[in-house]
Amino acid sequence: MPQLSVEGPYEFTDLRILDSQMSEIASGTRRLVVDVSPGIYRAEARVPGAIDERLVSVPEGRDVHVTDFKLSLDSPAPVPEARTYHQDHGRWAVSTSHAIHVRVPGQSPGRLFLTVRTDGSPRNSPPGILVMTRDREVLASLNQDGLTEHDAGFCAITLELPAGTYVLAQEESGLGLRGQAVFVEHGWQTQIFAPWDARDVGLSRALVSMVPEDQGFRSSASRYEYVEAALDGLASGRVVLTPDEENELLNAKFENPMLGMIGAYAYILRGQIDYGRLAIISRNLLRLLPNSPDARLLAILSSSPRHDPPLDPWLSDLMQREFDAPPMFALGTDRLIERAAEDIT
Amino acid sequence: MTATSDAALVIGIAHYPRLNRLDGPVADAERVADWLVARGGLLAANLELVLSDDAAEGHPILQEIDDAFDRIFARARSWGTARRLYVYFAGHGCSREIEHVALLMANADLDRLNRAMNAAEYRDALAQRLFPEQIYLFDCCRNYDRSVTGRGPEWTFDDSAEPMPDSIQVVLYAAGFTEYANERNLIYDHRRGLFTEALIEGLNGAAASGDLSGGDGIVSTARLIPYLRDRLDQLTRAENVRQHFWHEIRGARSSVVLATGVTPWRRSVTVDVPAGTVRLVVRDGNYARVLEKELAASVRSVGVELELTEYTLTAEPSGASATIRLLADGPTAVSL
Repeated sequence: MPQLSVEGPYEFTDLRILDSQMSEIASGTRRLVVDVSPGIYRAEARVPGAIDERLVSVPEGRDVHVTDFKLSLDSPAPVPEARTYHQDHGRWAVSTSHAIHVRVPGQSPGRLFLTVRTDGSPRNSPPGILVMTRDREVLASLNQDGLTEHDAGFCAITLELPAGTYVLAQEESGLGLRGQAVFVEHGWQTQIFAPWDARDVGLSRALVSMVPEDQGFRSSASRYEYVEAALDGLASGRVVLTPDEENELLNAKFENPMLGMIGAYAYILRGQIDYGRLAIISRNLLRLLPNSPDARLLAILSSSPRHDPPLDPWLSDLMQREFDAPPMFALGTDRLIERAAEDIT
Repeated sequence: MTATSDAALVIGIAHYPRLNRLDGPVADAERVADWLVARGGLLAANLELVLSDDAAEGHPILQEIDDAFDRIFARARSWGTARRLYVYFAGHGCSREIEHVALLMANADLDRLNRAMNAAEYRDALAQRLFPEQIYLFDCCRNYDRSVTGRGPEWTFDDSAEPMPDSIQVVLYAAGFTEYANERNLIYDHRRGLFTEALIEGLNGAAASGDLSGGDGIVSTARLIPYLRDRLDQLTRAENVRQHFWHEIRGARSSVVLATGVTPWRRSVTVDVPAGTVRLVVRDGNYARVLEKELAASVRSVGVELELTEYTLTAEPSGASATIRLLADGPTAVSL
């Protein structure tokens, strides 16, 4: 059988090979090699903000190698590699991420840095985004409390908040006020970068990352594209991690908690749950983010529902505590509800 | 079994008194219903067409959809053996995960967005019911909303029941998870869903393939799905909107024949060949030869009529080749 190999330009390129009936015959990150019957195939490559596809003819007795994808990377984070990069956005993101516009007193403070931006084109009306407690107490308004540069399509704000879960709320056209849970951890800065389209701010398409609090926005150090590629993959039910990231994840050596959470959820989604491995990953996550509902949930999911073998004491303690805040990942909420139902029955 | 044991529920909701009104869904639903009866072989009596209008404000509601399902089930039971169920919906929708869509009913409002049909739960329940072939067509947004689930069916769910043997569910979505589906003025002032536009084209022959045994063409999901994907990409690129076709197939089979006797659309392709070419070979997606044309050595350009799918064109003896994808619009000139 001839071989079809496909290679993307970035380490985090999400690749798929489909046959002529659109059935997926292979998927993976960066490079794929598969034996195929002669025929026409689609090689699909995705990176944040861009998709490219090649129709590939594989003849009898000849291997075919596809590398010529034209992928113009984009990101709501103002990283220089992004198609919509705007130098001022990068500069403002750095300065805003180190400022504190709103300080909410309380113990174990962490930071929340929120950026919405266009490709540099102006917007006439401000983005109506509020930061609220889970009891809907408004803590800050992006327009009023943060840096707003409407002429350049940029708004950003940084809050210092007690560790916990908050709500980003937005008035959506025709749908009213919609909210999204966001988690803040002591000593960390949760960074949210949302695209600001002509239609509205795409909070549901936001890039979420977490960096050590003092680091702020530093495009070179934070692997934003990698996190975004992994998030995009998770939304499509796929694991998009580089081999290094996968090794770090499976060996619990990761230091980027977002990649840890995305990777753990992606493995659960893929149905390949090695409970022992998940326990190791979730312990590392809890070490990094002791207050995170997602980290706690992943630890609970690392035990089999029948508690066979018996639970470690640390896990048993963890399971006794109520969840008073939802996980940040929608998939986490679904799994939490499923697990609660299983435990009841 | 034939199309006489098929049924369809076609829903078009444009009038949302308390949400943004849409323009395309009613006409789109009518076009799908027309196709099902005129070309898909569906008996008109087996079609449940549920449309919104100004006169019945806030309707249809989910109970009316359930009532339509009940009528379909009653009829299907009287047949003894049913074959296929179509469910089409055009209107507002949103999704909480990749395989979920909530189809908003006309009485939904900002505080009651869950006045919606949880299509994922309906599909799960329908998998156990009567129709071994089920085709779902959803022309609606799938923007992410965690809080909108919609209601599942009220039918008693049998946990122990398996899906019917040899059954298949084909689900075609107008938009990928978190994306909006769009409607546009494609022909004068006729507002149409881009997905339904591509769907109707495909069903009418753009996604048909010649049936070699009978001479007539057939439309199968195997040809329709790639057509929808590529054609919708073409339409959305032209409109500069972000919307990508998405599909799922569940079941033992990989494809369903949706219609027979459909003349495949063809396009004339002009192929420039290198000097010395004596033969042009055209292969389809499975690399089967569908056409061979002997050429005089002096010929540098040749015309071929091809159905709208993917081909590899090869000039012999040079071996120069190109892979093309034909759609209802787009380029038809190839240089090898």
